[in-house]
Amino acid sequence: MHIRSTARFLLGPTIACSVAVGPAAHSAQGGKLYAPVVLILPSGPRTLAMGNVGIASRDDEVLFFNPAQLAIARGMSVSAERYSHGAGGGTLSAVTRLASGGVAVGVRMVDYEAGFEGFPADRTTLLHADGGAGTSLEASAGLAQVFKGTRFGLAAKYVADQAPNARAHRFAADVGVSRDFKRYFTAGVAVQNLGAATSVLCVYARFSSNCLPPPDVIMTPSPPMTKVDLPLRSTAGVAGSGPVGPLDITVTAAVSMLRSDRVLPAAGGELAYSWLDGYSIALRAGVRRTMPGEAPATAGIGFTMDRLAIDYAIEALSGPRAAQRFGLRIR
Amino acid sequence: MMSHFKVSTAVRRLPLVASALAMACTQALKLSKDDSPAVLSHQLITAPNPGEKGGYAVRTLYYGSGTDKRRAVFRDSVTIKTKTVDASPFVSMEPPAAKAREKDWGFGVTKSPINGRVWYPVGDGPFPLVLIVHGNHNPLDYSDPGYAYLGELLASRGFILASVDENFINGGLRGESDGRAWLLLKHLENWKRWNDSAGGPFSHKVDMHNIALMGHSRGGEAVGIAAAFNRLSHYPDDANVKFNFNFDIKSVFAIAPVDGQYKPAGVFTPIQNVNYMVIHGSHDGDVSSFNGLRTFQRIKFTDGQPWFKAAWYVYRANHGQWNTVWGNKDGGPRSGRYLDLRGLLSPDEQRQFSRVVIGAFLEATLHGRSEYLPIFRDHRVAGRWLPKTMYITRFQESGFKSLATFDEDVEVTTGSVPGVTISGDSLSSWKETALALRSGQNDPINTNAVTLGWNNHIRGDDTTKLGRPASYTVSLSDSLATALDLGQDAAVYISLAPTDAKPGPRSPARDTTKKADSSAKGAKPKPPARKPPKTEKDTTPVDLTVELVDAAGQTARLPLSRFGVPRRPLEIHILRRRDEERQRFPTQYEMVLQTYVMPIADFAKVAPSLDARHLRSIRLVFDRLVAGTIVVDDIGVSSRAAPFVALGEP
Repeated sequence: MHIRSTARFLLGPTIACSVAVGPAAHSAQGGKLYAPVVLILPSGPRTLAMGNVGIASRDDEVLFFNPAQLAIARGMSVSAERYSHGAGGGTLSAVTRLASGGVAVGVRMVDYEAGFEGFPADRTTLLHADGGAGTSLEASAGLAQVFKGTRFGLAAKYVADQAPNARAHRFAADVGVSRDFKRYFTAGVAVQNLGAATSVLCVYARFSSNCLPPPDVIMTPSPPMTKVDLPLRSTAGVAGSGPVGPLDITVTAAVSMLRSDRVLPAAGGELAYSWLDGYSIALRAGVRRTMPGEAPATAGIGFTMDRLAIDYAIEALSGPRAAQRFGLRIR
Repeated sequence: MMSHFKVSTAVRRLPLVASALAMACTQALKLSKDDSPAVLSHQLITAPNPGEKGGYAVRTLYYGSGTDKRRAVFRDSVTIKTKTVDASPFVSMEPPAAKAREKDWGFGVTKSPINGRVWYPVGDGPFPLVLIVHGNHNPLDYSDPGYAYLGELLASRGFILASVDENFINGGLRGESDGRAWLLLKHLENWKRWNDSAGGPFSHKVDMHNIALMGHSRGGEAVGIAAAFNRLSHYPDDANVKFNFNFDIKSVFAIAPVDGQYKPAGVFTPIQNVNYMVIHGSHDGDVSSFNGLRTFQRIKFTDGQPWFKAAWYVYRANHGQWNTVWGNKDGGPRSGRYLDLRGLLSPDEQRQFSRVVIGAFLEATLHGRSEYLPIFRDHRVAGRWLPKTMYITRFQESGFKSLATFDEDVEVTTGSVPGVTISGDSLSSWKETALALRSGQNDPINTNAVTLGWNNHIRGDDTTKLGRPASYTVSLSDSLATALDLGQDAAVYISLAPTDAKPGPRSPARDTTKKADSSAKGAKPKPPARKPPKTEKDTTPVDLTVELVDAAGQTARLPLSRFGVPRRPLEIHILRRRDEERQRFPTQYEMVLQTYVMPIADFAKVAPSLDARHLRSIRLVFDRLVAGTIVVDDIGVSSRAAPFVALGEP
C-alpha cells in the first residue's frame, strides 16, 4: 500500500539518523542549557511512545507541539510521568472547536529535586534526588484556524522555573502550520518557545561560557549575570495514518533544531487493532536522538473505549533507567 | 536514585479488563423467533422453480468503449464498440474531483462509456431484455460482475441480461442518481440500434417490447427514475435537455434501493404504469431502512392495463449479498467492526431468494407466465422455493380500488372515496398517523395509516371478565357497492401490522343507578383515580376476524391468519453495539405492513348466501386476541385479483 512505502520513506532515514548519530554528548552542547526544564520534557504518553513526536498529532496534547493542529484536535487529557523517584510531573490539556478551528488550554508542570549544581535543571539532573526543591511550569493557551486548507496556529504561554537558587519566568509563544496531503498524511512545521532569555547569576548558572571561569566569590557588589535561553525549537515533521489489513497504522517522523546547536530527529509508529467499533488496542514504539539524560528508545500501549483512551508509555533514560507515563484522554 | 521499569500487575491485566469491557458492550445475537418451518411448509405452485436454470445454452459478451484504461474486458474483449455519451447535465462535481476522476479513469463525465457485460440465450429470439445496474460502491472494486449469477440464470430462461457498468460515477458523488438513470436509457438506445441492424449478435433477437430494468441500491432508485424519464419529453431539471426514449419498459425491479436522492422539481420521482417489485433485507447495513416502501406507495396505475407492484421485506438479508462482489460487509471491508453479521442469511440463501423472486417476476411480467403471479399475493404458495426465513410482503394490482387509505383528510370516520364511512367500537386507541421509516429522523413513507388498539378485558377485580370484542368497521353505501360491482372473483385487500403495544383493560360500562347513589348524601368518598393503564409489550400470537356483511345482513367471518401471517414486528439489530443501535434507530424494528388479499369466494364458502355485489361492510373484529394493537392501511377491494388468488391459500 501507499502508506507502507511512505512509512518506509519517512521512518527509515529518521531511525537511521537517530541511531547512527546517537546521543548528543555534553561537549556538543557548547555549555548550552535551556530553561524552563519543563519545555524539554515529554507531554503525553501517546506522543512519548512514538519518539515524542507530536508535530502532526490530532490529540489535544498537540498544543505542546504544534498549535496549528488544534484546528482538528479534539478532547481533553491528563497524564503524569515519574522521571525518577525524586522527580515527577504531569500535563493537563483540553481543546474544543472554535469556528473552523480550535482553541485549547493546557498546563505542564514538573516537580523535582535538583540539588545545588546550578541552574537550569535538565533531564540529567532530574535523575538525581539531591534535596533541593525545584518546580517548572508551563501554562498555554492556543488557537488555530484553517485557511484554504492549511491550518495556522498560535499558542501563548507563561513559563516559569523555580530552582533552589534561581527563579525564572517568561512569556513565550509557539507558532505552527500544518496541512493534509495524499489523503492519509499530515505535514507540519512549528517554531516553539519564542521569547526572551532569562538572566541568572553566573554563580548559579551551569555551563555558561559568559561566566568562565566561575567566580570564586559568591557575593560581589555587582555579581556577574548570564543568560539562559528558552529552548527555541524549530520542528518539521509528518504523520500518516491509514488502514493496512485489519490494522490501523500511524507513522510519524520529525526533525527538530534546538536553537542552532542541536538537531534532533525522531520517529515513531503505532499499530492499532479494533475488534469492535469504538474499541481498540495499540502498540507504539519510537526512536529519537537524545538529549542529555535520555536514551533513544520509547514504547507504549494504548486502549481505547469509545471516547476514553488509556495510554501508557515508557521511555528509556540514560543508564539502565526508564520513566513511565500514564494518561487518560477523552474525546 | 534511578527508577527501574516494572510491568505492574495492572498493566498485565489490561488486556483482560479491556476484553471484559468490550464483551459487556457487545450484545448477544437477537433475532425474532423463526416461524418459517411452518409458514413455508407448503408448495402450491406446480410450475418449474423460476430460481433454477432453464433450457437455453448461455453465451456472454462485452460491449463498450474499447478504450477502457482500467478494465481489460471493456478494452480488449468488447464484441460491440459503443460511442461515449455526455452525462455532464446529470452528473456534476467540483473541478478538482472531476480532474482527479479523469486522471483515474482516463475519461471525464463528458465521455461516459456505454459498457456492459451480457448474458444471452442461444436461439432465434426475440428475447426480453433486462438491464441491471449496480449502486454506489468502491469504484475500483468493480460492481458490474456481481450479477453474473442472475445473468446465467436469466439467460438460460430466455432473457438477455446486461449488467451495466456505472463504476465510473461511484465514489463520493451526490445527486447523480438521475445520471445513473439516463445512462440506462442510453444503453437501451444502443440495444434498439443493435436489434434493428442487419448484422451483429443481437440483430432481431431482442424483444424491445418487453424490457425490464433492475437496479441495486442507488441503482434501485435509478431504475425508477429511468422509468419516469422514459416517458418524459424533457429533463425536468433542465428543459434544454430533450428526451426521446419511449421504450416499452414493462417491469422495474429494485434491490434494496435508496429513494429521494434525486427529486425532480423537488418531489419524489413519480412512477406509473409499470410492474414494480422491490426487495429489501431487514439487516441491511447500508440502506438501513426499507426506502423502497415509499416508492411502492407512490406507484400509480392509471392506464387500465394489468400492472402490479410488490414489496418484500426479507428477514436477515443484508445489502451486499445480492451482489457477489459486494459481500456481507455493507459498510466496507472493515465494517465487521460495527455490523453484527452473525444473524445474516448465508450468501447462497440470499441469492437463492433473489433468483426465485426475480425469476418469477420476470417470467410473469415479460414472458407472460401467469402461473407465477400467486407468489406475489401470498408467498406461502412457494414455500419450498424460498430460503427459510421470514418475509413480509406488500402487494397491489391495478384493479385495486381504495376504500380507506387514511391519506385524504384528518376525519377518522370518512374513507378515501365518497360513500365510505368508518366506525369503531370499544377500541382503546384509534388514531391516524403518518408511517415513518426506521432510520433517519422520522423519515416519512408518505402514507398515513390508522392505529387500532383494543383490550377486551373489563377493568376490575375480576380478571376473567371480558367485554364485547372491539371492532373496526368500514361501511359502504348502496351506490358505492353498486359502482364497485364486486363479484365472487373479487377480493378484499387490507394491509396490516401488529405492534407490541398492549392497551390496558377497558373501563366498565357506566352504571347510571350507582352514579345516582354515589352522589347521594353520606356516600363513600370516591377512591383516588387510578393511573392510566400502562402499555406493555405483548408476545402472544396475533389474529383477528375479518367479517363481511352484505345488504341483507348476511355475514361471513374468516380469521385473518388464513390469508397470511400476522406477525409482531421483526426484531432488528444491525449493529454490534447495543448503545449505538439505540442511538441510531428509534425502534428495533421496521414498520412493514403485510398485505392480505382475501378472495370473497373464500367468504362465500363459509356463508354461501353472502352477496358480494351488495357488500355493505368490512369489519375487523378483535375476538381472537384479548388485547393488542395493529396498524392498518390500504383497505380496498379489487375485481382483477383472480390471477393472483387462483391457487388459494395453503
